[in-house]
Amino acid sequence: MIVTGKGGVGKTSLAAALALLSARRGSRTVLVTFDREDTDHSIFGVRLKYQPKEVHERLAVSRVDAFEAVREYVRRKMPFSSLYEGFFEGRVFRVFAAATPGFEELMCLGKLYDLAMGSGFDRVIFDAPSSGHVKILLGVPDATLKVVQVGPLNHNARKIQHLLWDADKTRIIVAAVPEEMAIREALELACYCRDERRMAVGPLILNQVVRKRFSSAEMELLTGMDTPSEVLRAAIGAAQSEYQLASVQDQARQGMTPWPDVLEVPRILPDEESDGGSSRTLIDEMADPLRILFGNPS
Amino acid sequence: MSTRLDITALTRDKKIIVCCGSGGVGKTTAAAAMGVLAATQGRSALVMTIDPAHRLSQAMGLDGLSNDPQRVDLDAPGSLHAMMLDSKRTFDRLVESYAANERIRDTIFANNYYQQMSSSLGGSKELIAMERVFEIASAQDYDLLIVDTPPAQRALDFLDAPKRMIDLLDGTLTGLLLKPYGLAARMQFGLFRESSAVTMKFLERLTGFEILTDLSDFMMAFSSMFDGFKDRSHKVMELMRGPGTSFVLVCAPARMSLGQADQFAARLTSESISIAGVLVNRVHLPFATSGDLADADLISELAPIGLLSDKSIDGLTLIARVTGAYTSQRALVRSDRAALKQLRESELPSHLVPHFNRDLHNMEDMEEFAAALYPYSVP
Repeated sequence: MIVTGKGGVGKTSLAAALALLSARRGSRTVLVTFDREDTDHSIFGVRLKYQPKEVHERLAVSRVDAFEAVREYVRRKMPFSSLYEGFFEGRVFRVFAAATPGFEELMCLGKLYDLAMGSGFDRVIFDAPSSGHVKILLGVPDATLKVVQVGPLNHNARKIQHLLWDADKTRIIVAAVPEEMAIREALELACYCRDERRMAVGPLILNQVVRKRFSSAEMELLTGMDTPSEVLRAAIGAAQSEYQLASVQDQARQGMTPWPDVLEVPRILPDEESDGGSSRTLIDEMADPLRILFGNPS
Repeated sequence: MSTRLDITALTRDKKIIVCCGSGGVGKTTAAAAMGVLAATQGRSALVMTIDPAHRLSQAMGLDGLSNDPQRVDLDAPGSLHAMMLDSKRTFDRLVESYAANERIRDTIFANNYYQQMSSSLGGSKELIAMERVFEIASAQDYDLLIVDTPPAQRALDFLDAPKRMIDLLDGTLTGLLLKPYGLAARMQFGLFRESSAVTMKFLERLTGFEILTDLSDFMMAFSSMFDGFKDRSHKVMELMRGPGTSFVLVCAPARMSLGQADQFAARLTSESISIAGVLVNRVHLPFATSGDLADADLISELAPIGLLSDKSIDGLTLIARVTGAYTSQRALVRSDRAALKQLRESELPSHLVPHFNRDLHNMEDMEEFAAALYPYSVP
């Protein structure tokens, strides 16, 4: 499962919620992020390393890294690999990797392939980069195949491409929030993946949805109220502002080109401990509407 | 203890404001609003954006923004202009102006590697944005240039990416590719235990193709114009360090987003660039200044709602709904406040902009946002 979308739509939380669900349903799951350096995972709180680290029963997190991936690849596949060990530390190699469009991306996809196909995990959930970068990422195997006709790079690109095309194994999940721009970007990306990359796409996840709590008559009544109570005025203010947000979201949703498969995740209110970030409890709450993705519990 | 960031002083006094921040925090909108603010202050401002919301360009009365500045219709003492950066076209233009002759220019344009790099390679957008900033700042057609940096995973990418590009375009690779097996290359890398000839063989073996042919052709053509290019990138950095330039980090009121702020400031400082402060966007502010009430008190305060109800409205249901909305609002306020605690512990000046509960997409919205950039009196 490749989870992507515009920046700020909650990709990381959604990916974490999906990973947790997957693990609870009995699949050995690895959640992979694309951070460029060692950072802590914002939800599971562990340092992200190249080697998957267990954070929950059947759930590990890790981070893909092009250099580590190449190193591992060489170690496993190349004869006399110890001869090349020193190169990875060298500037020439780093500059080469940075200068070759798609090289890092292909190596990262290669690592995802390995995790998915031969590492003892049943499912890989990829907390992928946002729309612009993920387009480049998914186009890399195809571009590589066009430029490179033979050799290990060609062979690997082909394997990866077939995995991406395999609708039984790979699925792109595009996330958005109910705002016009985010929805538009998500639909564009979903169409791109489906039509140009020929991948299985869906569902489109609409995150942070706020539904109308009040009828228009109720709203009218509240708006017309005149009261000296500060608390009451504040409560009415909160009601009005929520209603306005819900109306704007409704509009954005209505303006949306139909997509066959849309899953709504309500806005989850932060709890005391969340401290302005996503906590495990929030992730549990978020996971609820996502259950349908994993079928009925066996 | 964090101090106030006075955006109005920046839009009044500075020549360049660079808005940084990760994707989805409302950077483009903030940049546009600063432009409106500057125009209100009587200055001529240009907002340079990378990937604007379509409706934003419409709101500015522009049918999609072009690579050249267009005037925005705005009733203000100053003037507002906007443009969208087309990185491929700017890159092409750069090649045109630095290529020694037409043959070299055409070789570069036709090169496979150049085509990929100018349109998609990480860093090219950022590098080109910097180049365009320099071009516009040098022309001095505007009092203030506001730069909306490309969406990035991390705010620092705007600075790091051009560095990587320069590194790549620098003599290292050129020398290696032009004379891969030659003495020059070996001397250059004498400090490393690798020999470049072996490295090249290794890379060819690893990749299985002559990946280097295109790159080598490109470098051959590019090396003639590289000095001009590199010289310019140094000038861009000088401009960024100058007293007329200010960096503003736009954040969401979330732990992750604000957690970057100190790191970002430190990084800028290490480049001798000063950061003006942090603009925290979409903050949920309380509707009342009073403290939190217990639920029971809240319900008694809300009682008048029940009494007001007409036949079609059930008073108790309505009280429950209002309570629900109020509780949600308080949770959002509390969460934002908790996230903002990090900022209070930092030395960075900050300014909060409230959550508007809607998409901001027309000129009136921009003016409303601009109004929220004035210093406020409530803490």
